[in-house]
Formats: sequence, C-alpha cells, structure tokens
Amino acid sequence: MISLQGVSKTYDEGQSFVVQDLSLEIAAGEILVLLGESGCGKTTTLKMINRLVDCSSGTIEVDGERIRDSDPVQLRRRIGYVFQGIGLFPHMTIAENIGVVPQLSGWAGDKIAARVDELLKLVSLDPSEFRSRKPRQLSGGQQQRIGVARALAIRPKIVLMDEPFGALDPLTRDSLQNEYVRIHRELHLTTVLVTHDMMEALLMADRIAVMSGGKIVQLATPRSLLTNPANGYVRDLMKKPKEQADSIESLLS
Amino acid sequence: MSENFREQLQQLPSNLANHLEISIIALLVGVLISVPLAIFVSRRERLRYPVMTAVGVIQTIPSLALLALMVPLLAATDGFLLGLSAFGFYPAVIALTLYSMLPILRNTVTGILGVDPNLTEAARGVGMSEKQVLYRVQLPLAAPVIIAGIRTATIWVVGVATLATPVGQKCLGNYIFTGLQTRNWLMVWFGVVAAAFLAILLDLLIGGLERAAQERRKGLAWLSTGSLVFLLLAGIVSPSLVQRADAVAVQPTPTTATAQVAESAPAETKTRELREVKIGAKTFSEQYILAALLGSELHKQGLKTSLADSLGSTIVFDALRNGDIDVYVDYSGTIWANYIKRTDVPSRWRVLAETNAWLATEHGIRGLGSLGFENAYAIAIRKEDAERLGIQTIADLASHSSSMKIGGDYEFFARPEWKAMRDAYRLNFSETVSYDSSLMYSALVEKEVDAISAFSSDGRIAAFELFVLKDPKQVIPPYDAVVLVSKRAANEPKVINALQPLIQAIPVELMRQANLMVDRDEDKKTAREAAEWLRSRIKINR
Ligand SMILES: Nc1ncnc2c1ncn2[C@@H]1O[C@H](COP(=O)(O)OP(=O)(O)O)[C@@H](O)[C@H]1O
Ligand SMILES: [Mg+2]
Repeated sequence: MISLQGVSKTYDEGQSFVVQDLSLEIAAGEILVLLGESGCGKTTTLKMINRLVDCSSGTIEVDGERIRDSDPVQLRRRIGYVFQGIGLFPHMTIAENIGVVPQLSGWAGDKIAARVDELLKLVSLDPSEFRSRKPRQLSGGQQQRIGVARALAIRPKIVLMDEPFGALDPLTRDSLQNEYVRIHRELHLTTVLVTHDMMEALLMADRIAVMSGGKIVQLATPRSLLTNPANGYVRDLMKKPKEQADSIESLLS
Repeated sequence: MSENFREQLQQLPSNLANHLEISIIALLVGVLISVPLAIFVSRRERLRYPVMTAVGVIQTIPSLALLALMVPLLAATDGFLLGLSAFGFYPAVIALTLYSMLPILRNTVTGILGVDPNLTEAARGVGMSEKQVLYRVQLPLAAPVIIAGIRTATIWVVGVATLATPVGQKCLGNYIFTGLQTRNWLMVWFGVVAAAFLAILLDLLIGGLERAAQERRKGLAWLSTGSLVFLLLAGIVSPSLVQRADAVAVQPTPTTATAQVAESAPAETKTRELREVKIGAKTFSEQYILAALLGSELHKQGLKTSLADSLGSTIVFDALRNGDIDVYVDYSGTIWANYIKRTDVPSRWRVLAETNAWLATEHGIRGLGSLGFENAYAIAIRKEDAERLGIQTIADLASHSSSMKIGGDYEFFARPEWKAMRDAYRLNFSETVSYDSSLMYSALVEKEVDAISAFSSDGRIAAFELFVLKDPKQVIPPYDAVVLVSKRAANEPKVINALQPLIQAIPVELMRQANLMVDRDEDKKTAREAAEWLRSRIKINR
C-alpha cells in the first residue's frame, strides 16, 4: 500500500540527516507504528508520505504511484491526517470542520450533512448535540474524536496519525485507542501511527518500526520485539513496560 | 443663530461630502492595495522587511508635507503618466492612501503570521491548497486584527484629510485653515467637531463589522456593511450633488439670466466647457475677502462659481497655469521676484507691465491689472520704538538690528526680498522667528520680537499702533494686487466684463478696514461679510 525506498531527508544539504536511507513496506489493512525517542525522525518520515515534507532522496509510492509525480493537494485528500495538535479550526462549527474537505471536493450540501452525522456516530458522539458546537466547547478527548472524524470525511483508505492521543488523560486515551482500532478494522484502513509511548505501540500495532537517529533499528510484530530484540537499544526500550508491569505487581502483593 | 454660524452651516454639506469622499476613497484604495500586498509579503520572508520599512518611512513624512509633495510629483510626472491633475483630488487621495497603508499592511501581516501554525498545518494536511488555506483559515482567523488595522487607518485618514485644503481639495480642513487664519474660532470648531464626528461614525461602523465577524452575526454584518456602502456612495455622489445645489442657489433672477444669454449668444457656443468659474485664494484674510468679492461680481454676470481657498502660494499659481482654477488675486512683486526671478526693482508701473507681458507670453495667463492697492512686504516696528530711537527707514534700523529680533511669516525668510533687503541695508538681527502670519502682529505688540515683516494692506498696522519703515534704496519691489485670469476663462467675455470694473477700484484704506473687520477679535466679520461691505464702499465703474 505504502512503500518507502532508500528515503532520506536533510535540511542542510547533506551535512546531517534527519531521516537516512530508510526503506519500509506498509501492507494494506495493517496498523504500522513508528516508535522511537523524541527527535529520531518519526514525524518527518510520516509527513514525507503525504508530502507535508518533501524527501531529499529516495522513492515513496502510495497505491503503486510515485508521490513525487502526484499533486500534493490531491494526495492529501486521499490520505487522512490526525496529529497531536488536533488543529480543529476554531472559527468553524464541528459540522463545518468535518465537512470542509467534502465541501472543497465539491460534494452537495445534503450529502455533506449526512456524512457529518454518520462520522459523528462513528466516533461515538451524538450528532444533534455536537453538530453546531464550536471546538472550544469540547473536551480534549471529544476534540480528538472530531479530528479522527475529519480525517475520515471523504473515505480515505490510508490514515496517518502523529501522536494523536499524546495529550489525553490515560482513561480517555485508552478508550480512544480501542475505538480507533475498531474503526480501522471496520473501514479496512491502512494506518501509520507515530508514537513514543511503548504501551500504545504494543497495544495498537500490527507491526512496529523502532527508529533511532533517522533509521529503522528493527521492524517486527510487538510479540517478536519483546521476545526477540535485535540489539541492546531495542532490548532496553522493551524493558520499560515490563519493569512497569513488574513494579505494579509487587505493589499489589 | 449668528450670521457667522449660519455661514459655516451653509458650507457644511459641501465640506463634509468632499471630506467623506476623499477619506473613503483613500481608505478603499488603501485596503485594496495593502491587504493583497500584506498577503504577498507574508509568504515571502525576504520581501517582508523591505516592504514594511518602505511603508513605514512614508508614515514618518509629516502628513502636511506628504500632501504638498504630491503636487510637484504629479506635475513632474504628468500625473504618474496618467495625466492625473496635480491639483485637489488626486494629490489628496494619493497621499491619504499612502498614509493609510502602514496600519493595514502591518496588521494584516501580523494577523496572518499570528495564526497558530498547527492550524495551517492541519489545513494543508486535510488537503487544502495554499489559496484555500489563506481564504478558509488564515484570513478568517486574522480578520479581527486586520479590521483593527483598518480602524486605525480610518481615524488617521479622516484626521489627516483635514490637511488636504492647501493642495486645493475642499474638505473639513477649509474650516480649520480659514478659521485659524482669520481667528474665527467658531469656524475652527466646526471643522474639528465635524471631523471627529466623521471619524467616530466610520470607526463605529467598521467596529460593528469587526464584532459581526468575531461573533459571526449576520444581521450586524449586513447593517454595518450596508451603512458603509451607503456612506461610500454618499461620499462619491454627494460632492457633485452638493455642487449642483450650490450652483442652482446662485442662479441669478430669471429675467437677467435670459437677458444675459440673449446678449452673449455667440460667445455661449464658443466657451461651452466653462461650466463654472473656479476662484482660488491663498491662506490669508485679504485673499478670502477678495475671493468672495470676485465671486459676487461673477454671480452678477450670471456665472456659476466655485471656491478653492487656503491654497499654498505656489500651488495656487500652478493651479491657474494648468487651468485647475480660473481666477485669483496675486501680487505683482511676488510674480516678479519668485516666478520671473528678477532682482532689479523698477517702478510700480514697469513691474505691472512687465509681469503682465510675461504672464501672457509664458503661460497664457491674462492679468487684468491692479485692484488699486498694494500689499507689500514692509518692515514694521512699534511706534514707541520708532519715536524713542528715531528710526524712520530700514537704513536707520540697521544699526540697532544686532540687539533686535525680527519675526516673519513662514515664507518670508526664504524669499528673495528678505535676502535683498538684508544685504542692501546690512541687517544683522540677533534672531529670526517664523510665525503664522495671523500671530505676527500680536508677537510684535507683546514684545516677543522687535520688528516684523508686515503686510502694507493689513488693518492691524494702524490698529496696533505700528510704524512702517521706509525703503529708501527701493529694494522691495511693488506689490500691486493683480487679478489673474486663466487662458480658458479669459476667452469668456462675461468673466472679463464681470471683473474689469474692479480694476483700480479699491483704495488701500478700504482694503485695510475690510481686513481688520475679519482679523480683529471684537465684532468680528466673516470674509463674505467683509467683501459685501467692501463692495458697498467702492465705486464700480460700469
Ligand atoms: N524544518 C526543519 N528544519 C531543520 N530541522 C528540522 C526541521 N524539522 C525537523 N527537524 C529536525 O529533525 C529531527 C527529527 O524531527 P522529527 O521528525 O520531528 O522527530 P520526532 O517526530 O521523532 O520527534 C529533529 O532533530 C528536528 O530538530
Ligand atoms: Mg514528532
């Protein structure tokens, strides 16, 4: 579905690389998580897929098409995008926020209205209650649900998510994670999710790409990352959740 | 209601409409230039600083100077190659537009750049084109800041527009300039209050628009937009309506009108384009009085007139040369020294004859001759000093000058007459002080200065017990008040017939009295009242 081959990004004409010679195949229908410490190049990698950032070298294909040759605006409309900042437009109502891309794509008004209601239900919000509210009248969790609904508005097959639940409290985060996985399965989406949260990665991912210094250190299922870390870095990384689980257990005993 | 109040009220529609017109057009053009320019530079970091600095520099030019500078600029470039007139409307609107740009530009750039980068990224991320990001996200979110900039510009422009009077644009500044010059404080208040009222009204309406945008209130938006559009249309349409109404009001009685038309039927076809005679006046009382006098003589001949007063003294001559005005009174010595740039001083009659010849051949201007009095630059001192120190002539003054201060009007110390006088008599004053010419006389009486560059026809010379010094070396040229007529108007016999009887009709004593009526503080008269008084006293030879 998405393929990156030998992709690099530099901001200083090759003196240093934010992403270096990265190759990755993302299959249709999977949730692939880019996991790593802050600054390792996850966001840059994600943004290169919808051309919010253009790669310096290498090839990226979406649906078998080289994105370098495609119009970035059309490309982005085929790819849903959700990020930590959420970025709901404060001067628009919830319905307008969700309906803005369908409207720009020339949908008829009644079709947009029906789609907005459908999406609000999909993210478990009551349309009649939320439709005409402003973003500032919503909680953080509700706002991020709207963020997801907006990304799905014109039925993209691919969704890119950049630490979408990072700013939420643990309970809200947990329920949104589960709900997103449900939606992902229901709509047969392909999702690339960026996170630095180990638990989020382990719970949501089909496969995890561990990144460090602009490169992929290991690409594997959550289970084999835990059981079969490729090197010391990954092993140390995987220790954290186990240690946490252990210390909670000792607290209970 | 006093006569003064009634006269000011009568001028209100015309002054207000013209003020509204230039303010709104300048603001509209300012917005149409500045907002797109701001959008453009908000996307180009390298251009941003130079453009903002350039517009900022315009703002540092004093507004009166910016307006005045437009005149030679337009004249030298043939109206920016578009043939725009260098008089009145265009220099005023162009200068005001430039003046409006900084706040609009700065606020629009700040507003656009101030939009949360998360939101612009989200907009791009969901698939908006750059244009859609701008129109759907950046501009709506920046709108309150942009409108705040427009409000600031509105207040500035309505205020600065009062300074458009000297470049020949009628506006509320006519009240202020004329009022200050003739010490008619009611008149000044009229201008100040009306300008404040207009600024507040426009600010309120644009503020309404801002609130409507913020709270997304459609009703308020329509109301404010509707009122603004109405004012805009009123501003553009009303000056010509008001003018028409004025013209109708001064129509002579039907019988004389038909008689006139019948009499001069052949001439009528030839000069069809002279729809009204535009009278000019510089910025002092005598000029306002004479302009009113010329106007009433022209009316009697069934001609329509309009008045452009408080013009800068070089602007008025250029305006006549270019046909922007048709008639005004200048002084032979001013033409002699400042325009012809002659330094010799022949007799009064030679100067008159030679200036007339020069005006006709160089500029096609017709000089009708002297009104019969001179308004010369003259050095005046307090009478008590003249007696105590035995000073009779400028030559006598020279030996005392090192311990004296001299005051002059704004122009005086830059004029060739002053330099000639200073060199010929070896004057060496301890200080030179420039005053508004209306304050100069009081400054001498109150001993702020010891000598002034008085005007020989000013009524305050006698009223304030001043002594005018003789000029034995004859370095000051004669200053006959001469009626100058534009080429266009000179072809109209009615104009010449109307004005010819005034030639040699005004003795200097009468002019002094008329001037004093306007300049004094008690029992003040307006220029129009003084002109009527003058008309009743002079013998018009028909
Ligand atoms: N526009 C940019 N110019 C220069 N450096 C950048 C730019 N954007 C990101 N970087 C750098 O690239 C590196 C990776 O950034 P990012 O992909 O955002 O990391 P992550 O999302 O993994 O935290 C960081 O060191 C960051 O400073
Ligand atoms: Mg990141």
